[in-house]
Amino acid sequence: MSAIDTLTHQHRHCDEGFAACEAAVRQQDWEAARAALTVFCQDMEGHFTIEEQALFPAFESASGQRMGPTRIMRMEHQDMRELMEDMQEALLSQHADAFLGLNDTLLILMQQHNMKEENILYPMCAELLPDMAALISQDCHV
Amino acid sequence: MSAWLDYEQAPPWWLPLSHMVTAPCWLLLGAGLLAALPAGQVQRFQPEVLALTHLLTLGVLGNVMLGALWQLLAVAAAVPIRGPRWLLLSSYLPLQAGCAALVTGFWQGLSPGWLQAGAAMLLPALLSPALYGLHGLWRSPARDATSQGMRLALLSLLLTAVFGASMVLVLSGRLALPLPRLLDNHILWAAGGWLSLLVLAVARTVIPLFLITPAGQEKQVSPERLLAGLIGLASVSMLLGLDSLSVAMVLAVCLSLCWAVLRLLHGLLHSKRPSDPSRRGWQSACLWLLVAIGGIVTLQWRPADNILPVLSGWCVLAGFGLGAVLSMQGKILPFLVWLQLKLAGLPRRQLPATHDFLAEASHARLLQLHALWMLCGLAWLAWGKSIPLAMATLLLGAYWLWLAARVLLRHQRCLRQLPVQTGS
Repeated sequence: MSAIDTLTHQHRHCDEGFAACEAAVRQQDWEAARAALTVFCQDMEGHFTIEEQALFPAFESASGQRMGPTRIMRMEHQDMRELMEDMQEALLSQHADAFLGLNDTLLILMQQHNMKEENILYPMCAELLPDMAALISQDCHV
Repeated sequence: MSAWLDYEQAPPWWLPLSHMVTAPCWLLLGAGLLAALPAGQVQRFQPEVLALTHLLTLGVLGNVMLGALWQLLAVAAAVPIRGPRWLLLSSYLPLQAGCAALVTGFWQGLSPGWLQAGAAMLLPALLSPALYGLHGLWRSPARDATSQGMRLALLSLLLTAVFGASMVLVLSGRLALPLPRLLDNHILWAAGGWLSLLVLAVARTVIPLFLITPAGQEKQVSPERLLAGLIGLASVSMLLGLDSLSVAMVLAVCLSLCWAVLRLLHGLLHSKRPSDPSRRGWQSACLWLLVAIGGIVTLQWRPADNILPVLSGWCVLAGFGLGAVLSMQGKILPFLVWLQLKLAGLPRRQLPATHDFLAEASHARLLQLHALWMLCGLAWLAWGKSIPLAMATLLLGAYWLWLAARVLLRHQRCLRQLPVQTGS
């Protein structure tokens, strides 16, 4: 499996957790929803960590760009972290409508972010970083 | 590559939004025209039917598709949208004026003056986004299926516009070319190329991501490339007057479309988010395309049939085209305003979720109205009674516009909550 495939697979894996959590909330199965959200947030954080601590710094030094695309990706990671926090709060108060609203917002933000990474950033990283597979495997949690 | 992926290079939210809010206005105008339609059986080349077809393709679908295109070019292919005001002037405004002139020209019994004025405005309106997009995609590092599909769709848009303008010149007596061949090519590139290629290319990325469906296996030849290649061969055989080959190639185009749609339907059946209203919307759109394909295939054996071409056109444009864009509206429109407010600096706790701009129930209702509208359209084709369709068009257009207005009003209310900027 190539480095791009590994990272894309992580996106899809997170998607599965996201869908499991949403399904549990729609069925008002709060226990299952809490468990699914915890796993989803951990998977997301693991993936962010790989990118922010291994992939992005390597890309920045190879391309000489610190204020370019990786800055935007980090900002979007932060937006997603905030939404996940809000979702956890909504889940704690068992507020299904609030949760599903945040869930939908996260879905769109997450998927347009994934689209940018999979279509543009990862292929450019693969071009610039011959050791990309080794870089991401050092800290692969998902 | 310094600027790509940057929000500053994305289109300002008003560019796609202008197109998306204008589309339901055209639908409302269509309701008025339908109500004024003379009673009787629908005829394929009836001027009023041609006027309504162009109102739907340019005013409604053209606006939403171009609005979505600006957003997709930036997000999926990292094409920076520079000079948005120039794009508004060179594409959005002439599109509305050109559509109005063309519809008037058809409605008045193919009035050459109006048709020429329409074509003169529509050429820049369609060529400027096509050339802008192709240039941006040429330089884009993206090589994914959606970006490749967008390239082919934009090429199809170029050819659709050129064939359409040529037909206007022929009808006005300024050009001597065989009209039926130009007409067949215009329809082929518009419906099979621009509309189907763009929707299918976008769906290939959007459906797995937003509805969380299993990823399809990557093929050696992408469905979009195969479809575009077959359309190209069909086009050449039509232009050369090779009738048997044209029929064979049109059937091959239908088969290729069928394969692409069945793949989408298979993915939708296995969606992990079955409660999202857009899933049902996409399923309906795919089914309407299959009905249209059935109509086009049957037409090859019954070329003199009067209703089949109109029925197929209705299913492709209204069922598949509008069905797909309405399914996507539920995601694009609320996210555009959410992102704009976020970038404007609205504090996190005051930022509404996307469902607060457009609730799932409202989106589901919009798609139900679309289904009702489609059935009224079929009744119109079967019995020639346009009033039920006019009423359904009014209902669909008014509800769509009301939803868009609510999104904008909510956005305005949020903007008033913005902390006052204290600059030096």
